[in-house]
Amino acid sequence: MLELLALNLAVAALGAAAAYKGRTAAAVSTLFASALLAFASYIARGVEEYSWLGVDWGILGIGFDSVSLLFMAVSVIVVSASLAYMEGNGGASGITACSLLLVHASVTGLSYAYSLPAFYIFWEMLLLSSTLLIASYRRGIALRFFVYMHAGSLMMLAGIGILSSRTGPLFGQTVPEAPATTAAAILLLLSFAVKLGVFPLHSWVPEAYTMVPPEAAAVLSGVVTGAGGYGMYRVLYGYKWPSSLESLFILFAWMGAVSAILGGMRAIGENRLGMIASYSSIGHSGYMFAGLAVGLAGAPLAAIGGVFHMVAHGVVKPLFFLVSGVLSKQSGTDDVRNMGLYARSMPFTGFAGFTASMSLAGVPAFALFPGELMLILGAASLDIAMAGALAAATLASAAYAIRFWLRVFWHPPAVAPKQLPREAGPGLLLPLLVLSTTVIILGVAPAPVVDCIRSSLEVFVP
Amino acid sequence: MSGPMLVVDAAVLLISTAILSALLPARAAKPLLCTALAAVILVVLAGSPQGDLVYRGITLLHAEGYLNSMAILLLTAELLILLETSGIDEYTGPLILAVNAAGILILYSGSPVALIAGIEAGAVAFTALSLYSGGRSIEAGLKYFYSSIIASSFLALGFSVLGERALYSFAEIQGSEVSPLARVIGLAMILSGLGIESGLMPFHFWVPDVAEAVPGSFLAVMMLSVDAPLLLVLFKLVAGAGAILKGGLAAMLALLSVLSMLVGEFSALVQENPRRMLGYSMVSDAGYTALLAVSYVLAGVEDLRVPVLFITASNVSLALIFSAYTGDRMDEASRVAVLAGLLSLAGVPPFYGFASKYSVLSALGSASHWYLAGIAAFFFLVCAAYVFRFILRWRPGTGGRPRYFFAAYAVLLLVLGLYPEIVFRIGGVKP
Repeated sequence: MLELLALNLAVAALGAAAAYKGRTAAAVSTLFASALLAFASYIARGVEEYSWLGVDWGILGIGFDSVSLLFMAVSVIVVSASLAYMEGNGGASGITACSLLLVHASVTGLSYAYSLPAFYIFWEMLLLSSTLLIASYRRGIALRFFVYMHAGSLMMLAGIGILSSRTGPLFGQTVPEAPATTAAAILLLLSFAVKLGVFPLHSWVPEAYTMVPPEAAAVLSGVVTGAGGYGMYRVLYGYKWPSSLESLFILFAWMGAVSAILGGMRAIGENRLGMIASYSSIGHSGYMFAGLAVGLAGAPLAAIGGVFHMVAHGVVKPLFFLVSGVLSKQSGTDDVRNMGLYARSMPFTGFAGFTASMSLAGVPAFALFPGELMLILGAASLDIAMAGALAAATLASAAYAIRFWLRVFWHPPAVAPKQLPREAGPGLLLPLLVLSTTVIILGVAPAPVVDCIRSSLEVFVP
Repeated sequence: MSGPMLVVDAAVLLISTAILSALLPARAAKPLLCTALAAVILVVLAGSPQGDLVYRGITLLHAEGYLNSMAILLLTAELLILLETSGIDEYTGPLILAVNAAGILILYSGSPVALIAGIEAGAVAFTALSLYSGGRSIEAGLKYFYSSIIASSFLALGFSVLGERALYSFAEIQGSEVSPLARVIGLAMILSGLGIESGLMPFHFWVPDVAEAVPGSFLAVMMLSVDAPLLLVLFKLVAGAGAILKGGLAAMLALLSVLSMLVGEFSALVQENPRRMLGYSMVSDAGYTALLAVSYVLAGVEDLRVPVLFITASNVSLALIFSAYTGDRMDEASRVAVLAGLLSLAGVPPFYGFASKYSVLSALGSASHWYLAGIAAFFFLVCAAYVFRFILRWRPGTGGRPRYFFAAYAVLLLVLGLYPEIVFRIGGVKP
């Protein structure tokens, strides 16, 4: 398994070098090679232990399962789409393209990490690569982003230290009941909340997502933020926590539910495309966080829903950002109040926008519906009030998503423009169509993904 | 594996090359220097010396896998720096080789005789390098020289107080048959001497001045050849002191360690001059090493793995920054190298510095010294804070010839961070 990880990282490094030199096609090829290697790892699946430092806490666990495969698939699809979008938009700087591949390399490492030190190493790599991505556009924002995220990483490190001392660094252990382990659980939950951008640790999200171009925001929202959900699954579900912590997990689940509601409500009032997408991300991160936290409290259906939501949101939100990018580029504005009837002149973009907005609205047959349904049903088994809160959040989400669709594509604008914007070129449309297809497949045929998650839960969770 | 005579061979090779370099034209100095260092690396790598070299009852040299690992890594780092260093001539070349020979003696020293000889030789050679550089480097060199003389004096007195047998071998310190009071006094003097030499508080005042004034490459040579081995010797002597150190002396050393970390890290935090900032970081490194040693002696642990990791990581990271950072215009390779060095110093994965700091926390945690682990973690955070503050403000101009060996050094930091075990494998340490 270590050889497969090393090979996969080497391929990602080659891709980064190719991207730096402007060879987009070669970089995308390495992404697909990485996906093949991930599939090979899934076939081989298992866990291996290696001595990394020769000290008690320095054991590395390397493994791969179905959820790892799903997370890597999201990364491959989204990074490829972003690279293709950049190419269709006239290209980007070598550093930007290289940083996208470095993000994928970090995700690769996270997918194979089966122990706390290994996870933390690639977690920090992801932070560095995503900071580099933002820094290639806005240095000041990148540094604020780094400081914010690193604070979360340090909380994780503290939690890792406590867990390593009590149970050891490998996953699959039973955590003893003690104040220190409670502190470890809190620190880890907070660190994932920072990464996901869950209220009240969400203030980095609007700035980071709106101050970078949509192709970068797509990767940040789909992959980097999704790593928070993946990490929450991999680290927290990797241990058997004492039953006394169930109320703590429910409390944090409420934090997610509040974030889902507030994010959705805030998005309703926004008119700028980037801000709608940002608050939408805060809301959906709240869903993920709530589902995974409720799952820890003893609702496996909610856990499956949370992981499914991580996968689906990882594709839907990048689609939304890229659609927003096309709309802004073609119309010259990012304010939805100045848009209208775009479905007439931009049918393909309209289709992609429809797919994204219906998914965000939680409409059946689109990607986010299965996950939200499982989340709400799972939460209902433990706390009916939380299920109600999540359902209310779904309504808010539907409100801004449908408002977006109607405002931009269907209804006439307040002031009729002289001319409707033209449809984007094929270079920009191709990634939209790929993502839209993925979104529809996830919505129409979620069973294989759900089965993957269930099989991982049965094997991975102690 | 080979005997400790290989170490002697390495030292002789360095000295003879130094003499040859002094006799040949200036343009031969750098190739000779680099060739000699590469040869020593190969000798240690292939030969993997083990065992003691005893002469008339005095353990001159003690070789083992951990020391070989350290020697190979430090010399490799130094070689990469020197390959990019300009201005090596028939004066500086031999002096650098002499510093390295002294460093070999310190690293593999088995008794106070070898240790003090190495310290003195290294001090003379480095001081000459500093004097030759001119300017403020002269004053810094003299400060270093005076500190070394005082340190050597304390060491000599301290070992003398511990009795004749302690002069013959470090291993005899624990079995010293003098009175308890004499043992405490002797050990205190030894620790003071090593503290002066390594920059442990309150003997740290020379460190920032030397870090600021001496040319970066020469400072890196001193750090990698002399300072790093001295830190390991400090660790070995403290951890090997056994029952002598327990009680009040251990508490006092722990306090001095914490104060070193406090003074070092917080003084670095407020520095505007980046080289002084890094100089104070060196002060705190001495504190971490001493703290780790105290923890080991209290827990009865003797393994050198963690201190070798920490000492090499901190010195290798600092040496790269000192050498590659020129303050104004820097080529892209140098900028990447400085950034890698800074991130490694801050303990950010996947660089070597993270592995070393994680191993320190693991060692302290495994020994159940939670307060010490918490203190160390806090000061690691402070270190990260001033490093990030420096990165935030850093606005290097572009220009200059590409310095690819510095980029290779950065890759080395990355590789060591991903696979730190390689450090010990190449030295012949069994996993």
